[in-house]
Amino acid sequence: MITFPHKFKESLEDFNKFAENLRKGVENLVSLNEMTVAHAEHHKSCGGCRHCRRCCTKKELVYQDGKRKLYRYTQRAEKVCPVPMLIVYAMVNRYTMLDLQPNRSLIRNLLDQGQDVYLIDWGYADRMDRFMTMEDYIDGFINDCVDFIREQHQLEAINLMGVCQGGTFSAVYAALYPEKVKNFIPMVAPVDFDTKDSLLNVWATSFDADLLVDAYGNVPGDMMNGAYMMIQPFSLSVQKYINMVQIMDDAEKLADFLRMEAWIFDSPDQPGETLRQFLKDFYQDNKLVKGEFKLGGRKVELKNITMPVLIIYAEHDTLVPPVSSKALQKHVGSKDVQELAYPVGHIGMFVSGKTQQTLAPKIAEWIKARV
Amino acid sequence: MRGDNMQDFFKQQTGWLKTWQENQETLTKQYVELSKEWMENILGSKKEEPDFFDGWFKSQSDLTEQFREFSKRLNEMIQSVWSDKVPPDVLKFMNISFFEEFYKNWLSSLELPGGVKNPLGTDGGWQQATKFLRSFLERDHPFFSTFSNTSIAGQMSRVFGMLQGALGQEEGAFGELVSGYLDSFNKLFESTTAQATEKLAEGFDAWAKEMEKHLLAPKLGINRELAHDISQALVMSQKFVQTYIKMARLVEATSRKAGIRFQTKLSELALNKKPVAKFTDLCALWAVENETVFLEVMGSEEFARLQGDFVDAGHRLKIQWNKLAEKALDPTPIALKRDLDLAIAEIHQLKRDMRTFQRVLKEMEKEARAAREAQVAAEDETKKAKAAETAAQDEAKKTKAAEAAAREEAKKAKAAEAAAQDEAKKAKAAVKTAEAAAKDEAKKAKTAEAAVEKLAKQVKADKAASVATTKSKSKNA
Repeated sequence: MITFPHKFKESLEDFNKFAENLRKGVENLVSLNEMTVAHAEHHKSCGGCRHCRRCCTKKELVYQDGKRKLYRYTQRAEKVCPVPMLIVYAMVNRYTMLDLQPNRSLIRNLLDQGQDVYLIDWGYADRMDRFMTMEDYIDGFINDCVDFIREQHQLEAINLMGVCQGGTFSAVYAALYPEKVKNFIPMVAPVDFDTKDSLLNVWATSFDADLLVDAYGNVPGDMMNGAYMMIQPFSLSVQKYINMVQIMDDAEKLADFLRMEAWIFDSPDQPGETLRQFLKDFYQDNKLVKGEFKLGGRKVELKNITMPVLIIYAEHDTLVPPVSSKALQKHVGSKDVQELAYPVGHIGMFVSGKTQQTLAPKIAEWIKARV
Repeated sequence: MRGDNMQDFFKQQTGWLKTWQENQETLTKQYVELSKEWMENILGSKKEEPDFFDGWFKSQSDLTEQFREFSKRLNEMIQSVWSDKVPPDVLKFMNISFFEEFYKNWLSSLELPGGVKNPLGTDGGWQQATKFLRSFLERDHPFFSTFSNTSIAGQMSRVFGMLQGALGQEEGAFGELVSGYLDSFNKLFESTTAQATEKLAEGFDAWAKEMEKHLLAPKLGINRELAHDISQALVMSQKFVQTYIKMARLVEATSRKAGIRFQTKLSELALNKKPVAKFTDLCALWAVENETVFLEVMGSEEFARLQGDFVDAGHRLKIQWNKLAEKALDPTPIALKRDLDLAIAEIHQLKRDMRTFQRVLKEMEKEARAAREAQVAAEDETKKAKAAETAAQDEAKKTKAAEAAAREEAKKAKAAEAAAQDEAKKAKAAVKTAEAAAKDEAKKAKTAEAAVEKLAKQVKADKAASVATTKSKSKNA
């Protein structure tokens, strides 16, 4: 490579700036305390999430079944929507992404819009959850939570929001119990798995899910993370950390970065039988949209979803491609289906500046017109 | 590390970092000065001197050493000091030791006009990106490292250890089999090129075939079943190695392609007078170009199939080792994985049944509650009906009494009516009498009136007579 002399000096000076950032960054790393990027034992209020932070919005444990918990967030607005909302997050990551820090919190924004928010925490699966199936989670815990909230509020039906894999679970639930769901909001949720728009979908069809589960029992969260990182191997493994150095001299930005890192790698192990079923029935056989999926012997038909549906998806999502989320519209029986798209990626849906400002108000507005 | 010790450690580290940065800046200045000198030499304005090159190479080498030390220290600091603040999962992934590799490559890419190669450039640099990439992927990438020597060989080592312990054969022929196997596997994973891996795999194949022949030899001291299982494990290992080689070959070819693309891009930018000289820009370009090429390959169905074969082969092998581990532990009182799984499955089923019962119970409670409520409601209704009946009876009694009273009243009314009629008759009679009397009185009055009139007429007549008398008297008078 030919380097021009005037550029040579400039590039060395630039590197010195890089080195200076590294040095300041190390000092920042040393001074960051537990309140910024902390462990759970210091923050009992968060209900035991592994990487709890000071910014967690206040919530109360209202129902529990083993590791699985139902929280209700403390209201923040005067006028509260009369129909509560239950959020079902994915099992492959922690729900803390929805409430990462005060200025990056979909939960907080929903509360500020007067929503009465409940959320399911699946906990960290361990060996005892090895044989838990989708039936146990959907027909079991989600249904119990919905019934609990209905009883508490003396309502026939509540609003249901499902995020990512939790959105798929919620779609199954809404199809089985349409009478208990007033409005359904799937967010970045995969429904049609027959797509080549994401590498995950391409890869998932070419390996033996039975061998995977038989070999590991519960599939390690690290392994799942590895697969996600493979989708953008160099951006996520190299470029991200080079970029990190450039912000390391700013303690606040560094703390933000680390919070996000802590979330990314806080991946619970996946209960073997549930993952086996999810991979085989959804990723490999695409049974949900084909109307062939059965839960506990009952056929799950998406056309039974007759309540209003708001499909939220991210236009640049590499994990759950838009086409996979949008497909729900073709299969539900509801006549009131709307789409809401943002020009962001999968994670950007929860943390980008644009979504922080407008996502929650739009959801609240949509609900308000339907309760 | 806690308290004062930690503070001392931080102080020491930040002190070292400061020194490092100062050294880095001094060395950089020196390097820049030398580069000017280099330019002057190249342009012929200054005569080359032999020790000039020494200085140039030394400063570059010093910089590299400095940065290597820095990267090492930084990584150590993050791993050891920061571990109480950041979860271990994050630390595992946040391995920034690759900075050193980038730095080395970047320095070597800063080549001055004249095309003279520096030692780092010839020794490695981006030309050897394949080597770097593979070491990077295997060391840092969990997807690949899942099947790397650290996990597979580690598992094998544990299983063999258990088998040897169970068989009481830490030494001898079985021990040799174990060490031969582990040695071959470790070498496979440590090789840095696909070609070398292939050579090692050939050796492993030959070794495995030879071993299979000896598995049932009495001196190994293992039974037929175990020999069969080990034989299967050997076959699976060979299959796994074959898929591993295919992956290694593909990764290598792809990274070579990406390397060429990266170099081409660098040259194009330099020819367009927009050379990429900044460390961060170079890293970014490297990442972007590699990712573009790799994703093109990784998005293909062929890659998916190959990856699937690789992953499946790894899982089959893992399952087989799990099976062997179970067999090794079978004669011991230690609970086996399959026993625990059975117990967990049983517990899980019981929990599920309990949940079903709880639901049924809840439903039954609901129904019972509804029935109870209905019963209470019915009893209430009965009470109300009785009360209503009583009230109705009371009302009936009252009505009867009222009827009697009414009858009495009617009688009274009739009597009163009769009395009234009598009274009316009487009144009529009285009226008639009164009328008759009145008529009489009227007659009498008429008579009296007539009499009065008569009398009046009489009086009048008398008066007239009197007047006439008077008049006549006067006349007469």
